[in-house]
Amino acid sequence: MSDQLRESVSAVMDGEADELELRRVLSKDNADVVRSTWSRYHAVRDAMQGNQAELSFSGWDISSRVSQAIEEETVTVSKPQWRASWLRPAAGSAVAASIRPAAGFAVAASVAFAVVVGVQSLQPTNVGNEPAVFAAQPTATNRVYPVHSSIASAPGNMRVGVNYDSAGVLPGASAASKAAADNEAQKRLEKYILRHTQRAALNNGSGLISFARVANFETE
Amino acid sequence: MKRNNADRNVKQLAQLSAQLVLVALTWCGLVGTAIADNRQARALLDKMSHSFRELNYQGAFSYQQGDVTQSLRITHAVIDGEEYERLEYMDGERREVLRRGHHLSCIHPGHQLVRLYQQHQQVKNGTPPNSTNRPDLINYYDISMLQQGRVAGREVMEILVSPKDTHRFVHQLSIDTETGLLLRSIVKGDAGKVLERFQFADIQIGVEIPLEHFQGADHSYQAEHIDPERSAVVGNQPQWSVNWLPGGFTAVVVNQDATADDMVTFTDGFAVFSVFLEKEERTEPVSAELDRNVEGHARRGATVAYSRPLTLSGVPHRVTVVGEIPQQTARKVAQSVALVQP
Repeated sequence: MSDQLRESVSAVMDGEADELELRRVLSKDNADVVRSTWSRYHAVRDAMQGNQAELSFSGWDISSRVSQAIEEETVTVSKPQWRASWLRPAAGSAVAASIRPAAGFAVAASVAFAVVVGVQSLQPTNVGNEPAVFAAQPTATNRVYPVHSSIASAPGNMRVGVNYDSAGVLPGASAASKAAADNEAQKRLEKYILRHTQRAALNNGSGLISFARVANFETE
Repeated sequence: MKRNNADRNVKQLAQLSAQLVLVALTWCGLVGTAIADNRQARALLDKMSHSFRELNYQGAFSYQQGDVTQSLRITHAVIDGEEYERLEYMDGERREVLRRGHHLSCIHPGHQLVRLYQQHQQVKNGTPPNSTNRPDLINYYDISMLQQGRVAGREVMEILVSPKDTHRFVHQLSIDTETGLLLRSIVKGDAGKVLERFQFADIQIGVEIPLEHFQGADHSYQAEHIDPERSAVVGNQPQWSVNWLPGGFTAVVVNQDATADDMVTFTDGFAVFSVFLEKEERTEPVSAELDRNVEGHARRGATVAYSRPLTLSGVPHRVTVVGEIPQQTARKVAQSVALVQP
């Protein structure tokens, strides 16, 4: 492992990494060595700060689970609907949901996530089985978790960067409220598309035919 | 002997100049054809921009977005100088879109941009078109005739409209030679990838359609009409504007440089996109650094949506761009939204 990479990992840990360093750490080529260094550094830091072992997450590796979740999500697509959870990114399972290539959306062939989780408001009692619980580290303010994944079957070649913050949606939020937020965002997008199409139909030379683009709308 | 030589030289010279003339003529011919082609293509586009509003027709077509295809039926009639339209979705749940009483004399900027002679006419008359300088289509698209073809049993001319920059898509249009109706349209993105395809399977043109046909049912949606000449809403609301537009795009509502509405729409004659600005309802403030990155995008067919949060004088907002433009362009437009300083 090069000194450069080691320094980059350290910078990412401290939340001081620039884009280049973040890319270096997130690079697939470095995955294994970064993972081990990452957990070692955290073990050292936890020891220095005197944290109890059960609160530490240094040995936890969520990347494979997240990758697996994404993989599973991508094959369960059937409804020709706009997927708009991206309008209101939620923590937890939405990691996978928000990049679902539903309705023929182009989704990244190779996705690198930087999941930023603010943890001031987190209590260890919030621990469940969602990825967000890995932020249960009372002394830290910001953490960046490198997660590697690739979706071989997805079309397109777009990079998706998803950033999560605890202030917008708390990791403790129930699945139901997340679904409601998704639903609301979906509705809002459909409404926008309808309003856009009303004007497009008057200006694009295809007339009412443009409404073929509108998947659904409320009838009067 | 010497004379023979001279003779031969003269002969060769004559041959050479004949060849030159021939080459020159062919070249002129080719250029001439190209110019004539272009003019014919523009004339057809011009015809297309109004025939779909002026004619009576009824037909079934398919609409493909990505890998989803659906069938629809359209009926269009002009009754007492007003347009009546009905669009029925033939697949899935029963639903339809109706538009009634759109006056033929109501011309929208998108049509104007495509019209060739109207622009020339206005220049000749010395009247500036609608007080703003309308951009000319050919500054942003290469327009060329491809070939004759046949769609829905009718003779068409295929026209390729390809952008000169990266801010719009390629449109491959098949226009009915007799009436100017658009019978097939293919929208292509990067590397010729087909994003959207619309195509008539069957169409009757010039049929008589009674007014009763356009009566609403409980499953019909009434399409709104946006007056292109309406004046911008003036109120206490702060005004905002889009500060970057790809070349050739004009607001569909005249003089809407800044607005207090929650929406503005722009068109270049082929592509249309809308920008929405909405106050974000969020209880807790988010640090600007984190907020900056919470953005999202979606795509269906040629339509993209790009959304990002934006703080305008301390108030969290969300700006969303929806339209038939490349995603990078939508993103750039969204990033240029700002409040208008009073």
